[in-house]
Amino acid sequence: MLRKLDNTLPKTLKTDVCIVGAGPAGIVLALTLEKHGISSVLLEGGLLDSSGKTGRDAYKGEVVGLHYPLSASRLRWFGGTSNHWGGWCKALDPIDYTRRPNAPLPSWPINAEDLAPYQEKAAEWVELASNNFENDFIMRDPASQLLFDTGPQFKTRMFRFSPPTMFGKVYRSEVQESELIDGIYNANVVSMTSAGDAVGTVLAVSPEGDQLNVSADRFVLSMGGIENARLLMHLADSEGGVFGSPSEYLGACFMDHFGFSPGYLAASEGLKHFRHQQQEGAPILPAITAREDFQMEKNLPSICLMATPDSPMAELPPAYFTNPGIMGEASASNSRYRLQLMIEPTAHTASRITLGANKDAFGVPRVVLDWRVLEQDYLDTERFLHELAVSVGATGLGRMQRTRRFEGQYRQRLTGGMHHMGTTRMSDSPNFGVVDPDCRVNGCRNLYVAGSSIFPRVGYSNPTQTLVALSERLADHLNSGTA
Amino acid sequence: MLNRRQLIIAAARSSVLLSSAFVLTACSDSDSTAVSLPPTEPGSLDEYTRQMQAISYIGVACRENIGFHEDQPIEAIKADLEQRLLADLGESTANDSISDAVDQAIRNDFSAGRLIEIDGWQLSETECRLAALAAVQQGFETAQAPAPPKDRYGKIVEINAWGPQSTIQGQIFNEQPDGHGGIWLQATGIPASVVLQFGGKTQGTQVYADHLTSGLRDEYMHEVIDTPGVYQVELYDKASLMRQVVGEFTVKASGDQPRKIPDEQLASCKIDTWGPDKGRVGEAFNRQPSGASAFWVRTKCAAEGSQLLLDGEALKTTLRKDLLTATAPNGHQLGVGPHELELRIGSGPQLVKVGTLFIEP
Repeated sequence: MLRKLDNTLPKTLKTDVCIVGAGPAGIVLALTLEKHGISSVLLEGGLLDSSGKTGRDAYKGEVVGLHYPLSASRLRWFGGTSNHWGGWCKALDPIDYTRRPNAPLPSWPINAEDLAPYQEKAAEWVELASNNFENDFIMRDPASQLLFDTGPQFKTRMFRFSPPTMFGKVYRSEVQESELIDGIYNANVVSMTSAGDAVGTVLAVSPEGDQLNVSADRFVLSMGGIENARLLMHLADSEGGVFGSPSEYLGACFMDHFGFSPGYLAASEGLKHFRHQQQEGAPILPAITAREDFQMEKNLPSICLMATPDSPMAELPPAYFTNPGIMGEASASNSRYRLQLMIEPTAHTASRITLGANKDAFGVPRVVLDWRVLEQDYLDTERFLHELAVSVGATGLGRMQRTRRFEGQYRQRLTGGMHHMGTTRMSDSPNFGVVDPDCRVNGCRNLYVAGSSIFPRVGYSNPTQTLVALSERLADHLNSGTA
Repeated sequence: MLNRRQLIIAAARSSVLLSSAFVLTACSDSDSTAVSLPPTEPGSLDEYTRQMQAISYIGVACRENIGFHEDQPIEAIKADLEQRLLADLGESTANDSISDAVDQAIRNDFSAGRLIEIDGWQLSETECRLAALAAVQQGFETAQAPAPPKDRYGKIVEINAWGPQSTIQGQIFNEQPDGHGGIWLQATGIPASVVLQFGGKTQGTQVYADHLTSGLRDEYMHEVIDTPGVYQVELYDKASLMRQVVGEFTVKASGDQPRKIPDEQLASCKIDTWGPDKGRVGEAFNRQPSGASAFWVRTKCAAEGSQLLLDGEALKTTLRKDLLTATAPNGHQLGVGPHELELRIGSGPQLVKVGTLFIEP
């Protein structure tokens, strides 16, 4: 069922699992638990179709590092940020689960194979035509691809696109009709009580002052990549903190994919490394990426590259590249493409959120975001681009033009993907993470975290599909009897 | 085709010819006119570089970058190129042509990291030397870009619908959450290189599978909506340099549009009921099988030719007795906030306010 927290609701509820936050992670978790016969209370701070009186206010905070649109990047109502996402989907590549040489922190304690069955299910949740992101599908239209597959260094993988699925609308009726899910909106969690090393109850309040105590066997925070950490930090700071001393990584390692337009590529005419619809097919975006062996050999971060047709350049016009032998098979007809990168950030503790002195309307301290990108990440991006320039030339596929180096103003004016990740990172050692491989908060036997805040490494892929897969996996764990 | 031995012979001959050419060029008063050279060996390096196209800019830039123009004998450059090509041909490619040798030499340069950067272009040393040599041979002394191809008008896509097509002076049209005036266009297969141009100015454009969105922002938007007139709207494909006229956008002078009709007429034209008055952003309201949104209005004062207008934009309207229905193809693209629905009575200028459609987030 779905109901609003107001003065008609009981003051206390008891359930198997209390899920805090009704975005994609929370909704998928509740509906998957239902299939296992597990009841849940699904709490949402905002309303069904808007953030309500104070919802937007709760997301305000202070930005002290790189510029970041703290409020604009999140939505606080049923369905969460899926109410305005772009639908980009891609499972993480297998290499994204491994640790890069010299990375300051460990990567995932699980691997792509562990998550593979859940990625299949996640693809269904986000309404994809297929869970295949590799090249065999793209090669139905080989003329549209920069055929790196003949070389050992780069290859094409692809993004797929969700309609996009607005979880709060698409799955609302399922939640509404469920006998095991008690969805309660207008309910903002402000505190928890502990019993030993476990959470006993959570207290949710409405902007109008109504209160609801939910007791449960297990609790899951699925409030988003920033809010999960903010609430946990608030709870840890509260009197009688619920899970002992918080991990030093709580709030740390904030990451977002960042973009950069380095210049242009001259290559065969008709390439489609941008979002398009194949004939009678679903929309795809074939992006250029490094092959795993090459990425490992060169210690490159995960980066993908998109190319959009652009105006020819007078100084080096298409006719130049038609000189015999100058540009291999691309000589006959060629175009200039504007390049755009999506870059994986390295997890590091200086990029983080903390709690500020100001509080929101519910008394929870506002967030202070200090987003930082390592110098090495910029340098690694430059190395990636150098390798790409060499590879397109050496394979006769094209030429690259650099109009920008990743320095100065381009570092200061970074644009993020609005993917909030890493602030409650997963690790198999409490020394390097906030949650364990089962998504359980270290030091608290019945408190879990779902969503992209648990990502210890993020690749270049948009996080929604993977965080949905992790919710499916968490539901299995909560049903396993070991939780 | 040119085998290894032929290349050596041709190269030796062309060396002599080229050194003569360099002297001729260097002594010439003309900076950029091509110098007439003696005939060259077919398939020779000379022939290749003399026929290189579009090097008037890059060739000179390469020559300046390499520096041989000032202090290196042309023979040395030539000899170096010959060595590179011969080396890259290798023993196993005895029957390859010079273009194959060029291709292989360039690939080898890239693999070995022998790159030269010209205006950001990452070029191989060999190709840069070839272009430089060609610039000398063809008499280019100063770098000048070839004349760019001109834009031309034609059909880029089949446009199904677009809008809005007008506004009233001072009124932001199809206002979006961030305050800009949104323009939409429906068509399938829009190239990703297409941008929308409004009054000759390129506007930020997002291309999707079956539509694009664009609009006017900030100062330019206010400049437009404050100035009554007609603005040409075009699509421009940056890659093919093709233009397509979309239509005209009219900013009507506020005085031209009677927003209110006299009371006695208003009294005689009552809107009985109408709908819908609410919609959700991103979704068609009162969705029709075609995917379009639709309004209905019951009034006894509508006459043949009456039209419903949404935000000043005429909708395709049908009248049956006292029921008007109209479709809004772009309903799902309306911005959050109020949108005015009006009724134009008959074909006259009078407008009656029907009500306000509110698009919710």
